[in-house]
Amino acid sequence: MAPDEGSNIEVVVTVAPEDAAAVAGRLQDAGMEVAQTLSSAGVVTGAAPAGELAVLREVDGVLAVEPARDVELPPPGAPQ
Amino acid sequence: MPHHTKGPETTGRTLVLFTRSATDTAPQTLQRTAGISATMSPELGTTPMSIQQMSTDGVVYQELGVAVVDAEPDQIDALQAATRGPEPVLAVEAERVVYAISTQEQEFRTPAPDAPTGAPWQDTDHATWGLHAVRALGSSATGAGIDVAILDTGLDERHPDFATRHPELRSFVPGEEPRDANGHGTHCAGTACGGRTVLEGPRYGVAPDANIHCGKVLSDAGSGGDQGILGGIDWAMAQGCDVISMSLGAGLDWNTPHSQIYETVARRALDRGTLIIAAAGNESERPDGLAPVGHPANCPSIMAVAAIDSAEKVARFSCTSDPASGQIDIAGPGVGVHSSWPIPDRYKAISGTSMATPHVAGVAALMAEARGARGLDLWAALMQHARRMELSSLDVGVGLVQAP
Repeated sequence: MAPDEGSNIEVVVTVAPEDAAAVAGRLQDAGMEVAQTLSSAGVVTGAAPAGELAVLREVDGVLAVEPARDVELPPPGAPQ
Repeated sequence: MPHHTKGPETTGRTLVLFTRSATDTAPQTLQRTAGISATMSPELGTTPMSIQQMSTDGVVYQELGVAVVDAEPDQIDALQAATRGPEPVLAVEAERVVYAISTQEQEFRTPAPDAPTGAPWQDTDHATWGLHAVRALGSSATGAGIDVAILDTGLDERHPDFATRHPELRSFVPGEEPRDANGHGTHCAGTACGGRTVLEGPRYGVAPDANIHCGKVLSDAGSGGDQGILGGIDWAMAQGCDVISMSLGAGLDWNTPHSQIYETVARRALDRGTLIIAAAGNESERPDGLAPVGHPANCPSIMAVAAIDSAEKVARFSCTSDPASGQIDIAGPGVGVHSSWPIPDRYKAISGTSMATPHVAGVAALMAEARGARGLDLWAALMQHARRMELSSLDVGVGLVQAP
């Protein structure tokens, strides 16, 4: 089910590790609610309106933006 | 190596291997040690020339650090002697004759029918079948000094088998402690890094002296998301972990492109000396139902692990390569795997590519210790050392992971 364009979804963003904090600030200014700035991996995580991902991709220093995925372990008894 | 052994046909010429730093002066070394006059290869020009056409006894290939020379037996003896002294001569071998391999010759290269394979493997009193199959018990390496991160449902650190291991624990799941109330994480950590001595049953840990870092990125209910997983990877990288084991993922449809985010992060990790290993997924229903390797194992820079059973057949659930978007790199034991479980159960045997993955991570720790390799070099060492199997590379990649 596709989320409403205006409702927030979780997103993950790759940036240059050395610029992570600065780019996180610009992402915040562009409307993203920044949750974590991961300066070893060079990733900023947070939430943004589903319709605004294209805006985040244009932010200076951003390499890629993807909606965050969920993973789930299989139920007990099924192959793990 | 003696130069008159029975074996491949030889040309009568001799190969001399020099240390990397001494290739510039190789002609002088040949003259001094054996009275051989040789020419540097660039001086020959671009036209191929045989040694007989030249006024010297040989050619030094500077980029290779190798000379090909015509040498008399006493000169060969002098070169052999030089390998044992201070001269920068590493090895001396007879040049071999090689031919293009014809189709007909390939037919003679099928393995002998009685070649021992070891399968079917069994749990013994001493160790699980998986440890036997990956040859962990005969390895001189133990993972000492190597940091392994297991990103999963955490660890039950109260388990008696981990009492002396002092694992680093951290939760990336909001509202949950790092302690594992699911079991999956404790089982995977046990396979990768469980100790040499256990309270009861067979030994189950591949790298018993590795430093354990358990990041809880999946909840006790077994679910998680990219924010926690990427947070866990970042934590493991910042801690200088050499290996990250991720028995987690999501199934995909065929032809789904891999995540740019995970690929970029995994490449950065490799550049920093951290190898990420992930489960291929369990969505196949063999023999007929095949499912492609899942996210994030389908990223080229993440090592994707398939599962085999104790008969060395592909596990019926194990995902396969998607030629368009992701491949299986290697296989590990993943059916009926006995390992640690949170107290009071303490032990459990379960199946999945989740169980195969920490076998590979544990062997990676042994390899990192034994070879000093990290990042892409460690990846290459695991690939080189894996045992090839009579199975499709689409299903098992290079084959069964093997301890150094």
